[in-house]
Amino acid sequence: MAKQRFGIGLKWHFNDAIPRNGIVAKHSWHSGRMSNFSFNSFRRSISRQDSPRCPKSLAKRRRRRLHPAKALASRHCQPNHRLLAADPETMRKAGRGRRARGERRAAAPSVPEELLWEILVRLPAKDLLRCRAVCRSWRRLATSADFLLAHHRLQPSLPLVSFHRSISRLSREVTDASVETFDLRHSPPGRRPVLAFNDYNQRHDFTIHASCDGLLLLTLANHRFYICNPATRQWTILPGLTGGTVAALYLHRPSGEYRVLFWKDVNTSTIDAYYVLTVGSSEKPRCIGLPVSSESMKPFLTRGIISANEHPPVMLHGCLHWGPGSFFHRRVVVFDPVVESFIRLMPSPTAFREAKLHDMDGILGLSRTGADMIVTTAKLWELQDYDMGVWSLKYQIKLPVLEMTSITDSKYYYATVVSKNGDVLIRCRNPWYMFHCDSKGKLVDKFLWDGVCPDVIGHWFKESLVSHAFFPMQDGVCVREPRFFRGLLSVLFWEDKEKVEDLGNRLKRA
Amino acid sequence: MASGSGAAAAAADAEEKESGSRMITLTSNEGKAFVVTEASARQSATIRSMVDDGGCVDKGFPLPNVDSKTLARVIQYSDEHGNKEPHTVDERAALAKFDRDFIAELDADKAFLYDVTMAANYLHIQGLLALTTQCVADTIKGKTPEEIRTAFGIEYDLTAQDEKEIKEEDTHA
Repeated sequence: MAKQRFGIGLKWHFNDAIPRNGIVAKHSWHSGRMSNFSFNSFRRSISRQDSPRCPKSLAKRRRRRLHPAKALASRHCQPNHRLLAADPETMRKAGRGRRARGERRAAAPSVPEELLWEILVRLPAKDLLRCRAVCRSWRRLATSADFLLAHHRLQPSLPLVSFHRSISRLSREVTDASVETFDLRHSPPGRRPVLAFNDYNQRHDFTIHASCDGLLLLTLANHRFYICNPATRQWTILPGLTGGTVAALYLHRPSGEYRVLFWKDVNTSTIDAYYVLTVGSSEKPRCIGLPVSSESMKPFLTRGIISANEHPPVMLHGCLHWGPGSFFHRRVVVFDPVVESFIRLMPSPTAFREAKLHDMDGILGLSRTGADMIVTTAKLWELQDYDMGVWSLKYQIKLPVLEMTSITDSKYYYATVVSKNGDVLIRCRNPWYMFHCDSKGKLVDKFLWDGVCPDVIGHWFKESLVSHAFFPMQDGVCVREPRFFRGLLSVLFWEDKEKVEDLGNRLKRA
Repeated sequence: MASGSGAAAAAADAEEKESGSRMITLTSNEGKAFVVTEASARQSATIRSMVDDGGCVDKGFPLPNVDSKTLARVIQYSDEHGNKEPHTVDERAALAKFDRDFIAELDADKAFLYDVTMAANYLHIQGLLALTTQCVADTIKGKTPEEIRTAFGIEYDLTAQDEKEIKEEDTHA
């Protein structure tokens, strides 16, 4: 049974990351990279600060010399009160005891606060959530709104890859499925699940429509739209979207609201009925029709519906951009969310319908990977002149076809450019391989999945712990987790064991 | 007009070059003096602002918060980043490799890493601070709250209210 879990199916490079327990394997990232550093040395460094090398007078002098903003730094000279309690329960009790005796002391933060900011802001969301449970000063910092915004800005934007077992449409078999971020900056790639189902089958499918600022917009088989933040596992239903085709989820800067631009079939003969829905608002979606800055754009825009699922939009210079789908005749479509109008059709270097737009550090990129199934090259352009719409070819990547065909006899390859540096992921089926090649066409890595289909879904994900008012407060009321979170583990460790066991039981039932 | 601005730019460039070749003395808290190029010293926003304010360039800068060993290591970083300006892909790759080796060495000695981080913070050397804090952050990754408390010598001081909130966060997180 455990073999069927997709984590364990990954044979090639993750071997060392596969624990004996198949359940944990799915979250092999969970155990993280174990650093071999002894924390004692770190502690020594901290205690060095208050030991003879740092006598009180010196500490005082240092404090005076400090830059005003650095005044906090002197705090690290305070002695450490380290509790030796082993488990959180004991620690909790110990804390209570002290409070009861009225000896409440502030914890001695061994790291100055502004330095703590610099450290914590570089952590993934999951680790930051754990840091909230360390002490009050860490908690205060790790929950403050400006810190969380800075944290979000520093997070990498990573491609999303979905994994599920290949089962036929007719099968009633229930399996696991997950959507994970795939971080190619590490070797082996860092994988973090953002969604995980434990009751997946082809007839109970799901679709991710949009990803924006750490929020995902998805539909389940019941056609309901959900918006969720996988990092905080908050979610809510967006009933107003039912039956719509989502064009974009975006932040409307003037109001700070998240909005959804979508098309809805009201009268089958027209295509010019786009709507705007404000996430968290009780008002009905507003119909904006097909607003264009010049009438000459209309013939292009009425050829088809903009779908974020096919052409994930890129927000740049305050405008949304969609790739040149076959409808739009080699044009990148530009929409201004403030004036709520399609303002421009920008020329595109390719008419390929699968061409994908990229945000390359503030420059618009466009990639295409081939006209037919046998993909041999991938191209990545960047928009050199935004106003004039001039593109330049940044990379022409010759894919390592020979090497790939020597490994697998598959005839069909699906390639996706997944970074601004020209990294390409190539998938082939039967068996499911995934190859990673760099911009020079060099095969960097290869992964074999055992019975699990990986799919680069085309959306990007940038983690965020920023809180949003549109997620309902769940005030301790136990709301049943939605399907797409049920396969995920608890963030904090103390409940994990229980949940892992629970997950194991569910697995046996399945 | 164009030639005029060109000449002004060239003059500014020459001035820049001249100031770049000036030497600056940094003194550690143990009184040891380190002579570095101005370009190297300008990696530090703290020193840069003091130099630009017409501070005591000739007298040098005492750094009471930094010991000699740490300062030597910080200067090793700022020399590499200040004195060379990477233009080609290979130069950039060489600099990236320098950073990797630099941090790998520090990573092996956490106490020293902490000192260098503190110095980078005090001297406002953004690149070095990003490098060292990322390294510290990497050591936090994958640890339980309790392991983090142990590592940093932090006292458990969360209130019952905090604990309740954490539990709630965890039920939907």
